[in-house]
Amino acid sequence: MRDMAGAAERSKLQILVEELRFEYPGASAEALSGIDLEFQQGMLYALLGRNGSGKSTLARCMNGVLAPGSGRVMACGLDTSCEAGRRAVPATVSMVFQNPDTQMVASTVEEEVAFGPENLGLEPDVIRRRVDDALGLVGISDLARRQPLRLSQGQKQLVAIAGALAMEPTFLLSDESTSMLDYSARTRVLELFEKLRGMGIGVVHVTHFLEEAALADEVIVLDAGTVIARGTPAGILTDPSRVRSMGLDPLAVTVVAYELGKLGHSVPEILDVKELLAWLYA
Amino acid sequence: MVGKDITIGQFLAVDTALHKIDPRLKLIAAVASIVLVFVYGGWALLAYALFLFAVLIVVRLPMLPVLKSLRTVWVIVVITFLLQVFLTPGEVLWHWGFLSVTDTGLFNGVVFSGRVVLLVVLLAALTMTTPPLKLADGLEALLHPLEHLKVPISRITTVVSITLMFIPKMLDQSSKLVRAQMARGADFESANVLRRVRDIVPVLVPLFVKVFHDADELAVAMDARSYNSGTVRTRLYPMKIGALETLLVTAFILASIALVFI
Repeated sequence: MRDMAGAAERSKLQILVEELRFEYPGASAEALSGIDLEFQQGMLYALLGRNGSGKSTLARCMNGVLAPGSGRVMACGLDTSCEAGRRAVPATVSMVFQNPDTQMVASTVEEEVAFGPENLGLEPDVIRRRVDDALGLVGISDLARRQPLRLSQGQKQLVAIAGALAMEPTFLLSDESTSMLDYSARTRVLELFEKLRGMGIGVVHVTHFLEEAALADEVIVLDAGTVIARGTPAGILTDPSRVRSMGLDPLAVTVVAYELGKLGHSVPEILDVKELLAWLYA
Repeated sequence: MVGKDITIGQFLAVDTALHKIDPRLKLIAAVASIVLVFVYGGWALLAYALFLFAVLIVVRLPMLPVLKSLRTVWVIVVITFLLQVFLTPGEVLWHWGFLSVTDTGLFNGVVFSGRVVLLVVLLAALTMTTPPLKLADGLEALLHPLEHLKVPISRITTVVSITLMFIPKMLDQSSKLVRAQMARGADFESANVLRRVRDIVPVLVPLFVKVFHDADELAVAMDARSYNSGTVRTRLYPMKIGALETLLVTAFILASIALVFI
């Protein structure tokens, strides 16, 4: 009995994807073809894959925006197969999207961040606390009274993330949220993701950038709606030929390290220029 | 460019007394004013127009954007005026061939086109001083009794607010598309109307495709923040009507009605 209660408690801290299949109406092929995955709280995941591989569809199924065609998604103990489950999921599994311009609904930043908690029917003082906490966490408290549409693209995306965090989620799904940002804004968002991981929030980051995936605890690669690789960044991203075979562009530093290895050097698994330099000078 | 002149429906982030008034009161005042614009004619309408502009100036609403909003309807104003001037029977003041201007036509032309102008000014003042989401909240509160008749008021008001929100986005997008087409030789200022019509098609098609795509993305983003949670939505700033604003709006409506005795 205690084991069952323990399993139920654990399921509230994870997202379980079982035999998930999904097909868009009128599509010639399945977007997801039998995905089995498990995501734990407090971990940073990178979801990689070429265009059309099913990354965004998987994220939307995990957030309850899309209902599974078949199979099951249990998000923090909520079954997204039923409508009640899908409606409840965004309160614990939040999501931010690629283009912040198409996520804004309010005329001030604080009202934008409050939109989610307002939809949960919370009391105004609770909404106030959540808004202040989320803005503080993201580091944009000074923008509270500004108009979202007048902010820079990077600031807008931070507002969108604050809006997602105001839901006080167990998981944050990022659907290519860094792809439209410049280097400094991307860096700020990635630092925030690492901070969230430290706070025990699970982050699932859909991305095309391998240098971002290198920061993750676990990398999952999709292709044609199936999982073709899963493991640590070092285990997956350090072999350039394997990375290319997955339709991805390998990191330059891994190509250098790989070529050095072919020349007979015993190069450790390296994902960062600083690591490579440290090894070279060692 | 295309959209910069269209100010109606766009919120103006300045601090005026109108901005501070509860959206429900503003909606009631706007509806009362619109009714009076149709009720009044002749000197009463002129007096009411002066009164409305005086109120807008007193509350320090920037008048340039308000007047700019008229640019979107100037064709309607002119057509309304001309139709009334030339087609209303009455004492002929001037005629040339089959065209004749009558005293009644001239009077009606001014009144009818004046009503169009006042309607636009009122709507511009309302939308410029009320953020779309607040406007939707106000509408929802006022129309709430219709929920009992199974009318999806909450959904309808959200559609209204998002439509208002999309106006500046559409204008921005259309400006970008126009610039892109001009860079490829399109001539939107040509004297040749047919050429202008032909050149506008490559702008309209991608504009609508983009707007539908953005609307779809927004719907997903709203769902992702529990918009469809089925819970009654609360507010960070619950709407509260103060005594002073009630007094001011009541005084405004009473003063508007009192003009009928002029």
